[in-house]
Amino acid sequence: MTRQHNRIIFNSLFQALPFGVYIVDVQSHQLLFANRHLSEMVGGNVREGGICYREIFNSESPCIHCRIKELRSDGEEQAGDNLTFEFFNEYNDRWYQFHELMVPWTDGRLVKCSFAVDISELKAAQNSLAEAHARLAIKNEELETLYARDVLTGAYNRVKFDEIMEKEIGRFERYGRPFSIMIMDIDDFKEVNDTLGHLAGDRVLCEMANLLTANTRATDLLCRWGGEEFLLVCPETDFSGVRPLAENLRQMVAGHEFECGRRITISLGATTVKPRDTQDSMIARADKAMYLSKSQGKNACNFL
Amino acid sequence: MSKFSFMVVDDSLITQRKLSQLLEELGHSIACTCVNGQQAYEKYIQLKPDLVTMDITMPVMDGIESTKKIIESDPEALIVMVTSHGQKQTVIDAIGAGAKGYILKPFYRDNVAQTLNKVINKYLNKE
Repeated sequence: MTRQHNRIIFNSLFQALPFGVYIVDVQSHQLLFANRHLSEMVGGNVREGGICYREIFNSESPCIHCRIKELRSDGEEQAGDNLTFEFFNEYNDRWYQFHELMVPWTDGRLVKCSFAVDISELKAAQNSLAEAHARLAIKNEELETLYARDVLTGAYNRVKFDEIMEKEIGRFERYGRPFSIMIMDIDDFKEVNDTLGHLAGDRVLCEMANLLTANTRATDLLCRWGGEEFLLVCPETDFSGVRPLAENLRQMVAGHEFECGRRITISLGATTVKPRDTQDSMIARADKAMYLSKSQGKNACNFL
Repeated sequence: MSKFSFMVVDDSLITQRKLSQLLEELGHSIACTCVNGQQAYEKYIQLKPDLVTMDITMPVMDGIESTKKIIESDPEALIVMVTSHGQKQTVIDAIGAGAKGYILKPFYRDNVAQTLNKVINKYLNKE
């Protein structure tokens, strides 16, 4: 049989296949063959001899999903290397399973032969499962928020605080990692409620929570402790670290213009974990330090 | 129902066009389109659109990284993934990064409208 005859048989066989087939020179990206089915998959204008990413994917640079590099990853590509993967075709909105393999071409050079089988129906079932999974994950996040956050201010609640403290005390006992806590009480908050009303009081609490969150580190955890009390847990922070942090917060709050038009200040009490500390013993110390600040005329920080 | 401004992020211009057209059919407006996560982050800060649709696989910065950065700068950002990636871990990573919805390609009008309405009703039409 002549080479010409071979080519005719090859062509009629590959054109008759009920899925997309194309063949590319792995060095130059030149498209050596594409059957009708493949051409229809991408709009019908594929020209053999052109560059694969231009002809098939209408792109000016090699495709982000191109697997030629992967097929050649060992640097010694050889006939028989192959890959199977799934691919979503934007042109016709269908999913394909690609099977790609290295084969020797008629002139001896190595080429990549790709077969694209339509698996859209199978993917539709898989996708609805994945979307259901996503809805479940979103619900879980929402439940976690309801479980762990104070409804009014969005700060963590006491349930979550207990969890955080247990974890931090555990880390200190096992690995000696220090941490500090800080109680912050809004000064004369009752007066805000009594003169401006409870709604204005609620807004001050929300503004305070946002202000404190925005001015602490991403790793610090803000909890709403009581009516007008917040508690900050500062992991990996010892005495020398918590001191400037507390003083900065005090100054920042005192300098902030609240929406209600009043100057509002906080009294702070901070403490760092010690051997044999429990959650209660730490809170008792921080509380005592905070009351010391109150007794000094409020708008102050103390450390015990 | 009031309509909202969208930022469409996808490295495929075809998807950008299809999705923008669908959103406009649903009565929304397109604030801008972006081709990668880095551009999305920069444009988000500048334009503050009401909602973002985000692809996952993109050059320069992927959609999950971009979602994290956008939410870090604006915790209220509303981002819905529109992607071809349905693997469990990718879904979990995207939701963990703060995505409020997840739509797989090919996207259908009803599916997109339903997912977006859920997010809109929950976060934007609260009053």
